[in-house]
Amino acid sequence: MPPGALKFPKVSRQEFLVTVVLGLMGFLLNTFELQLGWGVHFIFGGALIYAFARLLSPQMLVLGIAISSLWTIFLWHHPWAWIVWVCEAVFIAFVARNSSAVRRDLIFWLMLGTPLLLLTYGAVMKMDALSLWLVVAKQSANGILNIVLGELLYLTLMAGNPFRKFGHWPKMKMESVVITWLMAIILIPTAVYLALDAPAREQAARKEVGTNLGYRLAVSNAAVSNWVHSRGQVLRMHAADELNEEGVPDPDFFQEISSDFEEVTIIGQGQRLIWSAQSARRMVQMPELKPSPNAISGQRGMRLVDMAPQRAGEAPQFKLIVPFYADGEAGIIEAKLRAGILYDIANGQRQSGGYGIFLASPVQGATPLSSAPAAWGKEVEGLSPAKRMEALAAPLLLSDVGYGSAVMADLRNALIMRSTSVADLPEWQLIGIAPLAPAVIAARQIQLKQLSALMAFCVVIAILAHVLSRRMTHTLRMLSQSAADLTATGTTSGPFDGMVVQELSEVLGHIKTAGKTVGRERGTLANYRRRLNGIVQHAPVIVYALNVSDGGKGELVYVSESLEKILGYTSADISEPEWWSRAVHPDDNMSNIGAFGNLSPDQAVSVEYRMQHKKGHYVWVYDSLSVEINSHTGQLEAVGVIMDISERKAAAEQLLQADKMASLGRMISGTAHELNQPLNFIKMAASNLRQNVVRGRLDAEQLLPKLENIMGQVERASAILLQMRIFGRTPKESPYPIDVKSAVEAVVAMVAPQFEFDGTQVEVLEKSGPVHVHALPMLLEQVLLNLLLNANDAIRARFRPKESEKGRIQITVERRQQLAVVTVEDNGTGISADVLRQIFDPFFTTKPPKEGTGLGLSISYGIIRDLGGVIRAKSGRNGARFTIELPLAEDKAVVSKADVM
Amino acid sequence: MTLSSAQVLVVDDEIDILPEYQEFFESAGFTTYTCVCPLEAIKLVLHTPGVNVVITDLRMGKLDGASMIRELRATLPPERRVDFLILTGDATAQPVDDIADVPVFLKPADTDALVAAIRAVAGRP
Repeated sequence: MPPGALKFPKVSRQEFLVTVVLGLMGFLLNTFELQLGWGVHFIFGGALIYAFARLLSPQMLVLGIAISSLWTIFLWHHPWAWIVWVCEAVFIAFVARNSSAVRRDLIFWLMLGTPLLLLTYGAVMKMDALSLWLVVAKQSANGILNIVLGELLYLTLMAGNPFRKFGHWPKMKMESVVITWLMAIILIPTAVYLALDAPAREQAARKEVGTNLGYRLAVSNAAVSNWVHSRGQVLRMHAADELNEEGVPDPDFFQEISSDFEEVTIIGQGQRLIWSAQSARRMVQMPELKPSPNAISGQRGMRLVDMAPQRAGEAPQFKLIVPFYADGEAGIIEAKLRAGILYDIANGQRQSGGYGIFLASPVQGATPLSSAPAAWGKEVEGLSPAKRMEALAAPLLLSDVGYGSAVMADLRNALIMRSTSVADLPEWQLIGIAPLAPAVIAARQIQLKQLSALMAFCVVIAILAHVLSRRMTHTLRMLSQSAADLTATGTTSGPFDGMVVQELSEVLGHIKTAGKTVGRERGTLANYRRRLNGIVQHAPVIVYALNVSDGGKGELVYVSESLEKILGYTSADISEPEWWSRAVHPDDNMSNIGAFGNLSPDQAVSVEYRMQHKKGHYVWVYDSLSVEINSHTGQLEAVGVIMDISERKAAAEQLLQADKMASLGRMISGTAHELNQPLNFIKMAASNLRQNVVRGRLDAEQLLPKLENIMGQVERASAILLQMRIFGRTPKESPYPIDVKSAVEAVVAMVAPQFEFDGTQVEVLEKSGPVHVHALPMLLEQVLLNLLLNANDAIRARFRPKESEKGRIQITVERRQQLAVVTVEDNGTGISADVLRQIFDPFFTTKPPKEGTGLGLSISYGIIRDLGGVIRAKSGRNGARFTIELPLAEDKAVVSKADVM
Repeated sequence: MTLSSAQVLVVDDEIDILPEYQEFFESAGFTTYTCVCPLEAIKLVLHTPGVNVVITDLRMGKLDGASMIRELRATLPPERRVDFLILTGDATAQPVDDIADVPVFLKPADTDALVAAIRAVAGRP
């Protein structure tokens, strides 16, 4: 076979040697058995090998088990246990190595071990069903216990630091740990209990059998004794009748006792009378045999004696000896018993089975006094005198092996012996024998129940352990993850394969670190909170928080104390319902409720409005509110800031005013020119009038048209100034719908002098009929004015001085869907991309210092934004184009600027 | 009127003021012509040899004052001497290049200075 075809990993010589040594140690360990009574015992050599299951290669594990289990062949005299145990090792070594060994073993015994045992012990060895199932339960319990002990040993070795230094000790899976501990908790105490309990049970059973036997022996003894004495008494009376002179012997006497005796000899008064069953009655004088009185008197009691057998192996013969007195002279009766008469006497109760009684003497062997198997008789004959003596005192176990170490099947044949001496038959004993089998069977039934229940429990526990370990692993992983998260280390230990203690201590470490971190963070947080409170209290803003209900309505949950500073209200004031709605300026209320009325997530709303100070005056505020979903509760929450913007509003007004003034300044040259024309006329006319007065030519017809002309020129100048005065005024009223074109025309009229002065042409187009927006005319005009003046500047920069007549500005007013659109397009220099980016920034200007404020477009942008619109700038090839988009106002109630003025 | 030989042409596109100019300069002793259109004014100067002072506005419809001055200077025969004065309402106006020598008077006119200036140029040999 080429080396590459080898299925197993290569095994080093060293590992092989280690395995053999381990196997031999296991073999030795197997000789220390844990007795569970009645020939059932556990052996633990396998545990030592399984302890190293993770360190040995699979085939070495099997080899180790094969060596250690060899002991079972010596122990039980058959190879089947060895084969099953090697199969178990193969299964553990090669199948499902990732799962717990205990669980694997349980599966082995359920799926393979039990069928194998049934096949070998049952079909091959023909073991009875009870013993067979007991073997199944016992072997599987022993197998699982060995794995559990092995795992415990491994855990112990692993926990010991000295061992861990040598080689790699793979971690133990959580499931293995849990199942091992649970199994250990069940199996070990149970095994210990069974081992402690079994001998006592066995002793008790033996004692019970022995005691029963004792009773039976006593009964038999008493029956024999009764028979001896009753018969002796009858014989004695008859002998007296025979020998006394006045005695009348019963002629039928011998006939009556012929069922008990074969031959009766009466010796006394120099006579010997012999009755024999064969010869009927015959009295023989035998003076030579006359016994001396001393010899007779020496044998006073009635008793049985055995007669020396004529041939070896013959059943012993007994005779009844009865001493008596006749006419003051002693005599003796010898009655030879019929064969089998003692059997009938002892067996008077006619009990069948269960025990056997023997009459035995060391010399003559045993005679059964009850029906009993022949083997028992041989047992009795084979007994040593010492054992017989021993059995007089206590029941004795008759077996060729010692207590508990018998093979299970042998113990079933074990016998209990009890003996008693027979009062009427010295030298002889009554020996009772009873089988232990009924007690053994009862005990084995209990053992089977115990072990089966244990195994069923093991299966349940294995399932529980599986579930439990998965949960524990999950929980531990979560715990570890959480701990890692807490420490923000981001490191998590891998799968929970190992000793839980180790992982738990890791997790504990994480949690400790996390605890420190949390403590530190808490301190930092408290610090932040303190600072934040300080900021909130001292900041010139009101911070508030709302819980938003489903209907979009907000419930105030927090307001900073700065409320009192800014608006004068205390927390008591705001607890009144609707305080906010009542505090908002009536003109602003509608727009606010529109903006705040329907809050939705990820929305930010900013509104400017006026709120009434507690003292009564109004304060301009900027209210910015953002809504978010609380990820924990799913509720909408809002946080907002209210700022006092009164100063900004005032500043904005001043800024607008400044921009207006700046616009007027930009028109000053045209306006001055325009004003100079009438002034020049007036001056010339006045000068001429003065000349006329000096010369005395006061002709009314000549004077009047001149004065009319002068007044006409004053009107002309006043009209120019009036326009400027109106424009320079600060607007105070609220926006209302205005006609866009009238605003455009007002501005065009305003710039006309300057444009005329500069030679710029303006064209106004109204493309889609009258268009109205909601605004203040003054504000819209300011925007348009800025755009026109900028366009004019661009034109002047491009064409002046030579082609100043070419400047063109086109203003278009149109309606696009719901928007009013005003475009201002010029053919000036256009706007560069750089400038375009920042064209609406405040203080950005392309003009030389002192000529531009840089505020015009910025202010225009703000005005249009406040009106809800947008303004855009675009540079084309031929000049710039500004577009204003404003929401259309409803057509009704349109008021033109003229009406207001 | 013997004190001065000045013959004055006033050019201004605002027609209402022309009679007042006429009256004023005549009462100052000058022979006065007025013209509302610069183009016609050029013709008038060319055809009226006595005109030796032209007072003009700068901003006018068909031709601005500066161009008119250049045109006349280019067209007039060398022996003909005509002096120019600018009278404008534009405070920023400043004649440049070849007409930088032309005196500028701002509206409303300082009448005495104007008369003095005309006398000064007209009285020159």
